Amino acid sequence: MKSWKNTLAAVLALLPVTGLAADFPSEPVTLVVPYPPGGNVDSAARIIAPKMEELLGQPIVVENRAGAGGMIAAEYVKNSDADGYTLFMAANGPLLFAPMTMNRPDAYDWKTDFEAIGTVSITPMALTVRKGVDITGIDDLLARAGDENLLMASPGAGTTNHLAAEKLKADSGSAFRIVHYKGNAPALASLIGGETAFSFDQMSVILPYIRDGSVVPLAVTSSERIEALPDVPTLKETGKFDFAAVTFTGLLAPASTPQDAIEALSAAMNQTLGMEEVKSRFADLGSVASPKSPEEFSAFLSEIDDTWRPIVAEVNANR
Amino acid sequence: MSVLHDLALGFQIALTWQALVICLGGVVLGTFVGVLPGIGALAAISLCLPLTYYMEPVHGLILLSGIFYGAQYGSSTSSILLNIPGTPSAAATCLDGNPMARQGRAGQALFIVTLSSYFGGMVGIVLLVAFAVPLARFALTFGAPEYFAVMLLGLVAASTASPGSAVKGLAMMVLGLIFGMVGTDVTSGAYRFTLGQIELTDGISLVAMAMGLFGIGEVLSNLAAPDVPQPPNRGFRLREMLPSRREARQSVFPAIRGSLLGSWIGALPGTGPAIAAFVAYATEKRISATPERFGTGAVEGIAAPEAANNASVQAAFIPTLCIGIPGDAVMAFMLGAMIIHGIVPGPNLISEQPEMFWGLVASFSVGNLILVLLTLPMIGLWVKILNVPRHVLYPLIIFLICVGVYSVNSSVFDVLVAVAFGILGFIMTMFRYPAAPILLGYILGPLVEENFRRTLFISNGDFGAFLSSPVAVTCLGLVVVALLAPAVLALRRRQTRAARG
Repeated sequence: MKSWKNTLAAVLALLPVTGLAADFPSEPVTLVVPYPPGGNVDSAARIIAPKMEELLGQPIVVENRAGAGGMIAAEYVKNSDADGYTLFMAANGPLLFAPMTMNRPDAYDWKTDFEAIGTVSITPMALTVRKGVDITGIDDLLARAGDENLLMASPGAGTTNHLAAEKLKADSGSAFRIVHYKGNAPALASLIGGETAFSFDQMSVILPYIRDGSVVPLAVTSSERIEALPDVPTLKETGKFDFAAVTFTGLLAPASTPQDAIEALSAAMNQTLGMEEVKSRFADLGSVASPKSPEEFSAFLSEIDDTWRPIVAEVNANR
Repeated sequence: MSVLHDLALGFQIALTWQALVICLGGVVLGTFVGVLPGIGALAAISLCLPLTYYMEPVHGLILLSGIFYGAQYGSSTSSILLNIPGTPSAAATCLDGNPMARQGRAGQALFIVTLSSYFGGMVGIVLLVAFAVPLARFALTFGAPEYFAVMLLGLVAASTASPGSAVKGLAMMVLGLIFGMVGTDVTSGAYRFTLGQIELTDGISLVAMAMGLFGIGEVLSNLAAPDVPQPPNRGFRLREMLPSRREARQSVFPAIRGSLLGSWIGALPGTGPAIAAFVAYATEKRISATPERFGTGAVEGIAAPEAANNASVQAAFIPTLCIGIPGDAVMAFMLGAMIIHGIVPGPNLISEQPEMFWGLVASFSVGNLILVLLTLPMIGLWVKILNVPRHVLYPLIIFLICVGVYSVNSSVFDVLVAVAFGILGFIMTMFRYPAAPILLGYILGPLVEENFRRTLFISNGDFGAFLSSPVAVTCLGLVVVALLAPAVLALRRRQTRAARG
């Protein structure tokens, strides 16, 4: 199955060389990143840009337009010419939820204002408990957390980590409280230091602490088990929860971008994501390079949107 | 010895050719801005921050810190030659350095100052290596109440202890707090003071603000300042610079005392190289058998403050890297720069990113060595730089600032913010308000607020939580002392004056 997909990707990748190269691209392509340089999304863009540049034969420029939860970049791309030369390097919040959380619901809608090209990377999370708390199962945790005032560490309100916690709470009825920190590092310090008891963390962040035994993993949030933690069940496997919680990065163009441009970009990107060097650089970031066709990416976005929109709306209404 | 192992790891990073080139670039640029009166380390660091986005984070930090300690070396040059400190930290060096120059001993003064600086810097680095790990381990036990108390102390101490009026310092700190509140509230997600501008929903840009206040502001104030004294028009030969045996002997103990004092002061929150230098100078004068020589070209009067300010610069990295609490505005900016790079300084930094931490520390010792080797032969070049016409230099700096601010986020709005802060900085300098506490308030304020609210959230609204640990109680006690001390001192002064008059 996989090799069939790889073959298809390889064949598709040849297309721009044979037929479409003359049409697209004929000038530099800009990837607009909704965050300042340095973070995960920015790194993802800078990993794929040089490789796609070689494949497409045109310079690919990474441009950072941070601000307003990613809305500045999203609106900038939405209002750019729909010619495939200005693309949005999106992630969960900026693409799907920022208009809702930033209280400008009419600013844009990912379904009508953007054209999906493909996923770049997917980052799963793990639910872990500090070792000293002496909990080894998710049922145990949810039963005790409310009564014993075990606190959950979140790296910020509205992050995927926070939303996953809210969903866990809503689906289980457990009455634990969530403490927000500014970013992963302080949240993790509070978990290890003992101020909080458990948390959802991106694999790259938490894996060293799982390995040295300071935290105990209870579940992973991806749809399938993770190679690095083969014995840890997914949330879905526990039988009580039917959701996956992952952060993604992906590429989109303004709506009504010509189909040949979308196809050329998709082919070049999926070929890039298949390269061993690119895969290992994403693995270093704790992410998985995840090639998808435009249709698969749209379906993936719909699934995430359906799962999380109600939770985001509730969190938004309660603040 | 795990420390040796860690240092070996650090040198593996600091001695790669990329790191060496970047370190060299940093310290040379630092010396350059240090030599030029009016343009300080902060302006240069904020100017270079966008450049570091294209580097490995550790290289970026090597560059920024190189500028910081390089500026300490350079700043004494203009103190000695022009009687104008290149940066405030070299103000104490003017007192005896310039008299030496007027007696024709400028070369010797520069020589002694450079070696004292190197000695001070190395002492600071050794203490950084010795104390970083235990301090970080201790800080790992900190919870929200402890962080709240320590950060509040840093904030208050820095503002009241800054040179000049304590009230003005506090006022500027509060202004910084207000600027820090602009943006989206962490806990609730509500907008505060965004004036309906979507660009302000993430807060005021640190780079735009720092470049405006310290870059544009300083250039504007320098343009408005009256003519500067003329520098000498030639450099010195090495032979002219060698101090006599007596001068060398006189500077050894002051340098040692200055280094220790400077390291200690530098590691405290709220101080900085300027305070370290003045304390060291005052100490030498007090313990000297011949205090009347001070101010007329005493060697002790340049060796001690220069050793002290360099030691304090290195020691200032201890609280910043190990606890995540910056001591002064430059360190606050370094903290901000690290956070932009996705590195959060704090107790976990050393264990999680040992290459980063030890590589940076190793680069300090490399950089200090480069500085000694470079400064002496390059004195002639610095003298030439002092002769560059202001009307060439200043427009160039403004241009670089605007490009730098724009490049961070492709945002014209940020350039306008920088210009606005430049005008504010100019007005503040005119009325002698210090700009540094604004930056400190801006960076520490949100952290203080965050930990204050988190403490109450975790304790379910019980204010007793703030006094739940010895660290928190001690720090809050010191906050009260720091706030009351200036008032009490002023009162006593008034009483003595009344008693006399």
